[in-house]
Amino acid sequence: MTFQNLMQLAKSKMNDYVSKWTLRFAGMLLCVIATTSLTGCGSETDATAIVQGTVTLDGELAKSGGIVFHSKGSDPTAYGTIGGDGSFAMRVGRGNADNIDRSKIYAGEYTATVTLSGPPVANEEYPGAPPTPGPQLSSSRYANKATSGLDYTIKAGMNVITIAVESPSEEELAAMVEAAAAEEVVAEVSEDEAEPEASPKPTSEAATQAVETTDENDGAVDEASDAVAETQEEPSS
Amino acid sequence: MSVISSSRFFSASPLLLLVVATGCSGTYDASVSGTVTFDGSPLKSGSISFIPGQPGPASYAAVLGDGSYTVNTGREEGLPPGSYTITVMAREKSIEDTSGRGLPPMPGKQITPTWYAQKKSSPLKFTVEAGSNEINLELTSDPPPDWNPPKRRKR
Repeated sequence: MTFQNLMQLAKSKMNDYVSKWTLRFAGMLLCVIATTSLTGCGSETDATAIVQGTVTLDGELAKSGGIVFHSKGSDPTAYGTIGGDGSFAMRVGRGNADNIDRSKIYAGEYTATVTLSGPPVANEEYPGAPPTPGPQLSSSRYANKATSGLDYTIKAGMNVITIAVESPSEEELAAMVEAAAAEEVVAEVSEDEAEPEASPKPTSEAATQAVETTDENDGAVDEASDAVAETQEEPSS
Repeated sequence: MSVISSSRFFSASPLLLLVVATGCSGTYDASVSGTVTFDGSPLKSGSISFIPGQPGPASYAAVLGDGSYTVNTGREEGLPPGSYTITVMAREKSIEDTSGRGLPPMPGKQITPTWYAQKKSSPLKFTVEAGSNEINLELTSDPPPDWNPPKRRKR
């Protein structure tokens, strides 16, 4: 083996080494680029579609509410929150934390459901209690995927859609009035029933009373625990 | 050979980055803003729709308290250039249900005439050019000559 041959061998080994190293480096770079490009647009791996749009209620911009995209296949369900100008962007999970409007969902066929509701109302009866949800502003047919009729084909890239919904129909309003009236009757009846039971106090107080009276009189315990049971049932009835 | 291919890869990587970067921007080529007046005085609220005459998304704007508006498409400012029919709908404040029955509020009285609310009858037709456009909408209570009021019907 001559010196020249030796050099050639060394060179080719070196080349092998270099090319292996560069390939490895290239692979690493590819990984880095791939991950940064993904995180740049949201970390959803296979989600490729941006869905933005506007919701109108009787032709005017909706002010608040929520949208759900139910996949007709097996893609994850996507969600959207309607801003004050009726606009929304759909997301899967928490979406793109850096820019929620750049959240991506899976391309495919979806049926949307939409619920618009007014601002929550402060609870006047029990101050400090969580506010009661605002009134339903959109017809409940849009809240059910079997009746919403809101079908969309979402393609990779930017999708811009308008979702036009209507307020509850006369029949729905009549049903709401009826339901509210029935609820009032139930509330009145349960109040009447509770009255003979020596002023219905909060459950915890009634419970401590029950504990306190345990040693004195067994009959009183039964009475008190009956009162507890009744006050607990009240909200559900 | 492998060295050459990897160097090719390196020369391509800035291009790849560029594609990735532009893939995340994507704004519209035109923007529209202006003011809306009705019989000379600015509207205080309302909804404006830009309905395209060509295939493409509809764009919308909310009228601010001073009568000004800026058009958005979805969550992005701006819209694609092209011809548009503009519809406007403004109502007085809705009347809240005070009966405690959780009913939706009664819609307020309509301020803007109905012919402005429908694409079919709206006389507001504009061409939006690339770049920024100022479109001032001057609504009047005089109906357009071809206006046929819709027949009242019970829902």
